[in-house]
Amino acid sequence: MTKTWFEQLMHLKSPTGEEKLMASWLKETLKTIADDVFEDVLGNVYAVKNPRREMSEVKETIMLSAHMDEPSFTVIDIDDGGFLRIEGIGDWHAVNLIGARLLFARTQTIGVVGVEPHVELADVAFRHLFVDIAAKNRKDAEQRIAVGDLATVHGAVETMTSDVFVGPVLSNRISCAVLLEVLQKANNQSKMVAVFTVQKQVGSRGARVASYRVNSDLAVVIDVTKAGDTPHAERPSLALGQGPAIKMLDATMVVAPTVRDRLIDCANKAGVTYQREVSPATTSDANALFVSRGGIPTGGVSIVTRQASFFSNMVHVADMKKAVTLLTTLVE
Amino acid sequence: MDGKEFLMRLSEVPGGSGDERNVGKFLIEHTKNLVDSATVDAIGNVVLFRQGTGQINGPKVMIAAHMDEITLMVQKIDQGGFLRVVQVGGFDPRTLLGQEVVVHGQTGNYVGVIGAKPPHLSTPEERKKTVPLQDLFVDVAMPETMVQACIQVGDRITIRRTCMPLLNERLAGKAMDNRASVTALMVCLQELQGKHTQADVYAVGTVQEEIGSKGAQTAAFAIMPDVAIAVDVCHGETPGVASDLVQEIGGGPVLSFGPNIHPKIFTRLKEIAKQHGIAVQVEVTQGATWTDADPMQIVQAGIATGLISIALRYMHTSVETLSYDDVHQVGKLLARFIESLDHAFVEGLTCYLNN
Repeated sequence: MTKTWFEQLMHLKSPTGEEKLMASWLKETLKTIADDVFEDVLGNVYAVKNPRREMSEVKETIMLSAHMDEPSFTVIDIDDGGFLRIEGIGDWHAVNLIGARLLFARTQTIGVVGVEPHVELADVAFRHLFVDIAAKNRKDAEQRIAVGDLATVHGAVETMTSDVFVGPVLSNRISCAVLLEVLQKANNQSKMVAVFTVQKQVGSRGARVASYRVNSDLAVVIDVTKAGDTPHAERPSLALGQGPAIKMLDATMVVAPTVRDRLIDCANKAGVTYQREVSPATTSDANALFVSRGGIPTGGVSIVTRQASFFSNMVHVADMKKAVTLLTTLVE
Repeated sequence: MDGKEFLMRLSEVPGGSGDERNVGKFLIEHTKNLVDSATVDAIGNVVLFRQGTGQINGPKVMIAAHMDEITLMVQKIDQGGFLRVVQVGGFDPRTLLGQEVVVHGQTGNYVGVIGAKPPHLSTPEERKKTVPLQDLFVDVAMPETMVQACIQVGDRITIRRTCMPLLNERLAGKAMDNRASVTALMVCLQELQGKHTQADVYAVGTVQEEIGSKGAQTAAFAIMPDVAIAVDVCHGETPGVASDLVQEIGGGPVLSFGPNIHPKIFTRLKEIAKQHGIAVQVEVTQGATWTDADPMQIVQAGIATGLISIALRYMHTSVETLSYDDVHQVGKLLARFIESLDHAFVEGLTCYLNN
């Protein structure tokens, strides 16, 4: 069950550039469900699942990818009082972080984000933020934190209803859970390469090299996209619980009609309700997969999440399950 | 078909970034007799291949012109059946209001118009401002239920515009950026008919230039030519624009020069033009050219790259205006340049700075 994979994954915090906690858990787990598991020099984790027949009969290789990393922070300074200064990695608005708890990956230290007084809320930038780790002074802070340490937003993932989860920055874990289940379930007729990529937040660097390595006939990126079903929300009008969103366009690329129609056919064949994603503000690894080598036909399947803030992403289990069904149909 | 007619017809073919199929089909149909093979690659680039006629394998030259035009895409079907849109590529939203469009549905095409609130019903402040894209809508004159049945989120919308011949060989229409350059490729292939060239020629109609020069990058990777020339449009003189930012319309091919351009390709183009009495203009670009030339230069271990442009006014509107003479001269210059290519020239390209 997706829910189970997600529940296993949801505690694995994975800042961009230090995805090793997630990566090592994945490598261990994948051994039981894939034919070949390996890691590359950037830290991407690959799981190959060959069809149960002669490889010479296999007509195509399909790559499915999900990013392991989540938007994060790095420590740039520790002051005499033991307070930390940070910079964001990924798409952050500093003002949204006031009051957040951060978890520093290396030492599992928890910190609270404060803001200097006398700054108008609209003007808050990272230079106005500090992180309080309850240190007595610089020396005390340095016992636990070093400049360059990476952190993510800390917070529990909780069940709101039997169908809906909420938690901080879930994009990577939702996508990885879907990919894991496809890998486990699929009785694939094509060669399937699942790639758990690193460094999406800093320019899809993992996806870029993964696509070069796999050189697939088709690549499909699994990620999240923003819902527009809340009061006075801006377009697009995607809704929570209405099924996976088949990518038409995002900030990085336009999906070719042949690719998107193939995904739509799979959804129809599997009897899965789907939505159509036209999200010019949403980023993904899609373009990085697409422009590799001589061009890799690329599409995307997105999980619609409500993103009231970074701390509270809501996701509907049915959307994840339907995405699994759709993708399983694709590789079968 | 002669080049001018080809361009007029081709400009009217709908083909947005990511869905260039119709443009590719048109291009292949009208050039397949001029080349040894015409193929479409995995992402839609059209590769027209002409084998060199030398005893040994000739140098490889790729000439690239993007086939895609800027378009809109349906983002939402609003109450009343009005379509809300996003853009694929950079329209000037100021020019969208009042346009006729075609919505390309799954089972059929629907004509419509782009509307907004009329001036009579707008506040004085609103009247001073341009209507932003998010407030524009497409009216396809169907009741909402019918729109819901015929049109879907993700459907493409193109500008509906017949190419208009003006005086002095000038043409005005949509998508002259960059069908003019695609036409120059066709003219080049016509010019090479019956001529001996050492070089193997790959004339490529590339995809998705308007959203980041993607097709050119991947096509160049697959072909890995010794020399690559991008053909695109640049800004023509326009009232109110300083003369150093624009080129003369009807003044001939525009040769780019700058760090992203191989100096020896630039020089060779200039020399060839002079030899054959083709008037050229020079455009200096300090950095990125924002054309297919940019990614092609840094594919794999690097490609010696040049850029030829056609001056055009009112870029990214539905009345892009240029001189057909310039298009034809670019085609001729490309052909003469290709005829001049040999192994000695290609070997000399590695001495980048020894010019």
